[in-house]
Amino acid sequence: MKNRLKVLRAMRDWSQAELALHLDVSRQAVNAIETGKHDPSLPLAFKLARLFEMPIEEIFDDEA
Amino acid sequence: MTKPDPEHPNPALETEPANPATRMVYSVIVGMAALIAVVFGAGVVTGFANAGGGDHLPVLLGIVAVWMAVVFGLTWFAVKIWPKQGKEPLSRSTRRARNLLYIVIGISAVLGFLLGFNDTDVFSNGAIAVYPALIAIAVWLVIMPIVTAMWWRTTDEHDRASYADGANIAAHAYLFIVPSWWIATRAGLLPAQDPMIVAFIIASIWSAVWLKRKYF
Repeated sequence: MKNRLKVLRAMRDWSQAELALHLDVSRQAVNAIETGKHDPSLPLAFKLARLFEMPIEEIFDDEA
Repeated sequence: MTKPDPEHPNPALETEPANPATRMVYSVIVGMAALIAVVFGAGVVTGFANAGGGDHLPVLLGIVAVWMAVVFGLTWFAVKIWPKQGKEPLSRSTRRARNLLYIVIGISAVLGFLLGFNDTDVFSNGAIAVYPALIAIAVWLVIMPIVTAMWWRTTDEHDRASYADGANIAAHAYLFIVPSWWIATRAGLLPAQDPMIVAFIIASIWSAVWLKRKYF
């Protein structure tokens, strides 16, 4: 699934490892989500939404 | 300080640096894994040959070829993910999951050496002493499932999904390989199945898929 994670992360000047720390996942998990290889579970998607303070649909695009 | 361009993030942010201690631990683990790979590989070939596999030279050569491919693949993988210099922040769950994996590798190494002291052919079907066997069985049947369950509950969802994908493909490989081998044996094309060789093939497929999904 396409998403804006890489852009949102860069806006905060975070590395993948730093974002992984915030989410309590591995850097590989962040990379897989960013590249669309792994679709996050609902709990992780909500965690991302809370972290970036925006709705899930503004982070992920299921129609792309 | 200039604000990073959201559309063109800094490539330096994509790196995963690691401190010297991580590199040292990684080197020790890779070294141990290489040692185990050599010992087990030799055990597979020797065990197969001793079980009458020498009469099926193409099969023996095939096993050696597959084994070499696996070793080369794992070596390439180890080089690709070799930790870089610096300091890598790790999430709590990732650190715990890695520690549990190190424990599993350590237990496996101890088991390998325990059996190796009694029989140089790790995968042979020869007799071994009772007490080392009982210890090995207890570790494999009780401790390993507990540690595996702890790892499953600790690691993140991406790792679990990668592991589950590996399990799925490995289970299908088992269903395809075992009956085919059984039929081939009955037709005189292959020697009888060795359960440890089958287990090794399945575990290799499982691990390869798991690592590929996780790291590539």
